[in-house]
Amino acid sequence: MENEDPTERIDRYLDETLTPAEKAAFESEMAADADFRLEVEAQEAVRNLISNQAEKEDLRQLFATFHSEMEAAPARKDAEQDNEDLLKRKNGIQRKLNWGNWSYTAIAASVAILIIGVWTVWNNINQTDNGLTGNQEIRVDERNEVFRVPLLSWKTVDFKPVLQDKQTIDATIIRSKAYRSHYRFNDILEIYSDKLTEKQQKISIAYDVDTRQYRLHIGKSSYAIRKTDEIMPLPLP
Amino acid sequence: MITEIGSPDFALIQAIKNGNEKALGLFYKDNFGKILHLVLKNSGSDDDARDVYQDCMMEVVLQIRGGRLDQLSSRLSTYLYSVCYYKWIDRLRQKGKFMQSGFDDDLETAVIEEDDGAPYLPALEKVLTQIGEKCMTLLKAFYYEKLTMTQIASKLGFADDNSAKSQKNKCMDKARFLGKNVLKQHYS
Repeated sequence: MENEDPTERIDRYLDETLTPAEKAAFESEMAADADFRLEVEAQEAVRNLISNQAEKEDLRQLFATFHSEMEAAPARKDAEQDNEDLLKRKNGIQRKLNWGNWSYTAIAASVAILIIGVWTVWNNINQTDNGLTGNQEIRVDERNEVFRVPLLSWKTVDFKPVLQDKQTIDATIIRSKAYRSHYRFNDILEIYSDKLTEKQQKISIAYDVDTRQYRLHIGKSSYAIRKTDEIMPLPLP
Repeated sequence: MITEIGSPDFALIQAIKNGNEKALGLFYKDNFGKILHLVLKNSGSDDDARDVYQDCMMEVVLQIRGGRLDQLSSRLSTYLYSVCYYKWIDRLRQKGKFMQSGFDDDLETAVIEEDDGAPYLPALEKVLTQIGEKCMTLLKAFYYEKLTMTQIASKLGFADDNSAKSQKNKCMDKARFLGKNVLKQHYS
């Protein structure tokens, strides 16, 4: 085509879409004109360079995505592992608690028999201390000794907390003379308190996936806690 | 396992060659740990490891796409490790440092030397910046993304197909003129 734009004509040659006659004319022109040959070579080089640059840029972006995914994966794995561990411990605890319930029932029955016996023998003796003595502990709840509290895993994404996982774990509130504001947190959450009841205050645990720290929320108060087999004082809110 | 086609990772190589991003992603994630270990053991940081890894991964992927690894006799991961290893040695040398550890038998794998292309490419790359970012975007949309003039007009805000086509031709005219001068200097 006589009035065809030079750029488009060279493109059609490079893309091999010229008719045989056009191609023959084009190649004759190249053979006769070194400057035109250089133009064709230059256009091909520009096309290749632009495509290579764009291809590399696309790959760089793809690699950056893979890398981000890879870096995010260990955090998820940690949380999943923690959750798996919790589940295993919970199942273990559940078994332990079942045994524990039997023990508590037996203890309660023994105590009841003892009290009745003592009451029968010492009918006219007033009980001066109807509370707790020594290291005696009573696990309280309106109906059950053990109840369940939410364990929520959070991660900060774009400066906002995003819920990663929601579970529940066993918890119990313990009345003790020795410990009045303490906790123990391993397979189960034990809260040592004089007056707290499950219904009185909302209790939950938040796990920060980024810092791997736990916070115990009781009502409006929040306490930094950690997994421990020892009875620890609840830190100041 | 060596297939009759010649490469133990023929399927993986073909998947990457055909643009399978999932395969490429798995390959990327599976092999970074070894390079991170190599770089950290040899005077590098996490960032150095990522940089060198992405460079050698780029090289390997481009070789795959160019069909140069179709007959690769070693595992692709071994080949990648070798490319990264030599690339990291080069960087250490540039810093005047030396490799402490990281050799293993796998390094006997031969590495295909990267073809740096025509010697005038750096000069061409430099002069092409003169056509401006808008022209580069337009030419990229047409020659790399293979968009139609209608799509380009819509994407880049031209009034119609003809305006987009006219602008594309002007951009290429300018780029070709600059490229021709680079070639002239190269051949003279």
